[in-house]
Amino acid sequence: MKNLTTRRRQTMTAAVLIAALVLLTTACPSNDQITKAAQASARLASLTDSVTDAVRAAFVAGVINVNTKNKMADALILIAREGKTFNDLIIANKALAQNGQFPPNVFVVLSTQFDKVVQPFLDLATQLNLLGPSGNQKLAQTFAALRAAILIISAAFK
Amino acid sequence: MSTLDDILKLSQLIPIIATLTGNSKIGPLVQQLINIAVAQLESQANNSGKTTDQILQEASVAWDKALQNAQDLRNMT
Repeated sequence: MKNLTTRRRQTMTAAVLIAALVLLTTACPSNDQITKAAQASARLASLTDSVTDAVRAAFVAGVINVNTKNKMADALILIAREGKTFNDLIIANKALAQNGQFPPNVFVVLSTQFDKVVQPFLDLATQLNLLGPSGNQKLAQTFAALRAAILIISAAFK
Repeated sequence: MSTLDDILKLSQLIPIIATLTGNSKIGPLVQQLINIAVAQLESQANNSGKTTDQILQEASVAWDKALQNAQDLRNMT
């Protein structure tokens, strides 16, 4: 038990260190909200596709059962739909921006929609952790890495 | 700073992180985090020369593709 706690702490430390490093090297502070939002949308779309491929590979390899696969697929479908809505909202509202900045009320709408994309991702990662030791370690690590990436993207947008 | 510089810097930190965390078995997770970081850097580099409209159009196509991929996964038996 103590070993497990220590290992988790070490894993968390590594994740935090990497996340901090990536933020330092890639955040490239920009005041242009439209560009940040567009890039966040593009990156999340790519991540959604990557996660889907990882889940498919795990299912084909017999690492996860059909119920787990279906739960994850349902979450990914939701993420993709909400993501598309997020992208459509940026396109619909970009004409309202001035000097790359959205009006505050528009930013609130975008931010709320962005959370609808990110939250199912985080729920998915939590769900995977709940599978416990019988779950696939490699898949769990992939989700841990993706979770870190999602948090980085979120930090860059908001 | 170039993307290559960033990637090299990230790679050099793997042993440092392993030492700090005191766990050599942490390698695979660190490697995956690095892979994600590299993918993000590449994505940033790919988008760097594009207009916001171009990024949004490509993201729109990417979301459609992601949705189709997820639906195909759901229909797998």
